[in-house]
Amino acid sequence: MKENEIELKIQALVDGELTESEAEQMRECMDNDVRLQILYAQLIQTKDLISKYEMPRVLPESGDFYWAKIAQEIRTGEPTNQGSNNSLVIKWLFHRLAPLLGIATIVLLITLQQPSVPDLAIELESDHELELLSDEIDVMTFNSVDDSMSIVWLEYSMDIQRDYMELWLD
Amino acid sequence: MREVPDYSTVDEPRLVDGAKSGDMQSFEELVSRYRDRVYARAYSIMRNEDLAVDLSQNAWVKAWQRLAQFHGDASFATWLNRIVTNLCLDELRRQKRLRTDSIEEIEEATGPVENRMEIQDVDPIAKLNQKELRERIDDAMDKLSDSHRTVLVLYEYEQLEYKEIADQMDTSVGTVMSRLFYARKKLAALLGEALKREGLIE
Amino acid sequence: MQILSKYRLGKFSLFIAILLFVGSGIASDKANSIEIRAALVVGASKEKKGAKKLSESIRKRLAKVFKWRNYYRLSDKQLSIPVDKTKTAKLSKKASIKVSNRKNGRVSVSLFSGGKELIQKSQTLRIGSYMVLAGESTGDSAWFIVISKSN
Repeated sequence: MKENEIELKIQALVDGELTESEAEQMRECMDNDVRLQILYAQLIQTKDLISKYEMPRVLPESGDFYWAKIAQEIRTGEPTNQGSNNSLVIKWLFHRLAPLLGIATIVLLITLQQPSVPDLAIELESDHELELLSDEIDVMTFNSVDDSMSIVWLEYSMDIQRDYMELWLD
Repeated sequence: MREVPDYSTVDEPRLVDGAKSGDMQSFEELVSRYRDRVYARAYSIMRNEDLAVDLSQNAWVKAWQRLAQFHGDASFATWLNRIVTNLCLDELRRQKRLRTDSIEEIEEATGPVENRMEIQDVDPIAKLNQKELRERIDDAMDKLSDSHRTVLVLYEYEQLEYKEIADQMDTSVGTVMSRLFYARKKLAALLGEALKREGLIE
Repeated sequence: MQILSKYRLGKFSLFIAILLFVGSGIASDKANSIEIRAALVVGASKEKKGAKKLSESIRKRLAKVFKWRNYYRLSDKQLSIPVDKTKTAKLSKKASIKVSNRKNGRVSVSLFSGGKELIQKSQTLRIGSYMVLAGESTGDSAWFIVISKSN
């Protein structure tokens, strides 16, 4: 066995990845080699250090804001929870209400044919309304009721970020 | 009037069942219980706060979409960590950060790493308190290449086996073993260097 | 004489009535005006010596949500806006906002960069509550426009 193969086997022994017979063979190898015994001890020590002392980390932003972004993503995402009761109810309703929906669509189309300014308003809550006027920008919205604060976070690509930096902070 | 349950007192299996049936509040409670943990895993691989936040959030969205596939074989936290780990690996691949540096590749392929690297006895760490020790280990993790650090994270933190890591990283078990070996030696060496600089060892 | 005094009295009454009418208009305009404060703020991870710090109450609220710990006020504008009227505040060389008073505390705020309108946010703004428009900047910092109502 090559030297580096032996070292990797020693590591596998430390990690408990060897079969019992392979482990026995490696223990025999170590019995006659002080250098391998040192390596074995060092690997155990390093393994211990890494696994026991992982740096604890907390989110760098508030939990509410973090959740708001997830919830928004979920709501704007594809239909989820395959086969859930909700989707069955929606399907049932859709079948029953299809004719009504058809009529409603026609009424809506007639209404939309009236000359009017395109309405891009997005209803956030009953009171909040947001209108996006640039297609280079996406927004995240978040209402912190505790802090009486509503936040609109503008998201734009890194390419235009430099421009915005100049725009805002000069 | 229907009583609103106090989700913080609801046990995890009930929350998972609630989320599976489309209850966002149950899912929100799961997020609040595990968000730091999922973020920490993403950070440990990506080493970038913003990316870690984004990827951990994507992991939650994916988790919501795949809840039907969660059967409780592993714990919910383990299942989540697998999702975020996979997203991080995809991101590293996308950024081509999983390619091993050529020097490291040569070292891995040409025999014992210790020929080129001083073996460090890390015993003097006893002089450091837990917080200081964590910081030094974290600094050392920061200096590892992405592929070496990822193997370490998957093995030591995620407790995956060699074969599972090889599958996740699209590589061979031999490469995983060799990367893990190199990563541990390098980490010990970096830690030793830091301790030397601080006069904790000669 | 009587006729004259009657006439004078009538004229005087008319004058008073006009005065009262105009006055009540002004008073009601004043009563329906809202006082809006808008501040352009930068959030940074590192401390910036010499920069104007944001008031602690707002700083705390922002720091609770965002990762940045230091917040500095770059500019500050106060607007008095009568009902159904719009006023503009220039906050930096290119950043400006237009605020409209939509009655009953409801305001619409349009955000412009270099003359281009980016978004418009409408909501009821109560005393002590804040509307924050924000975005990322380079160098691990972010800009915030903090809008509040002071009457």
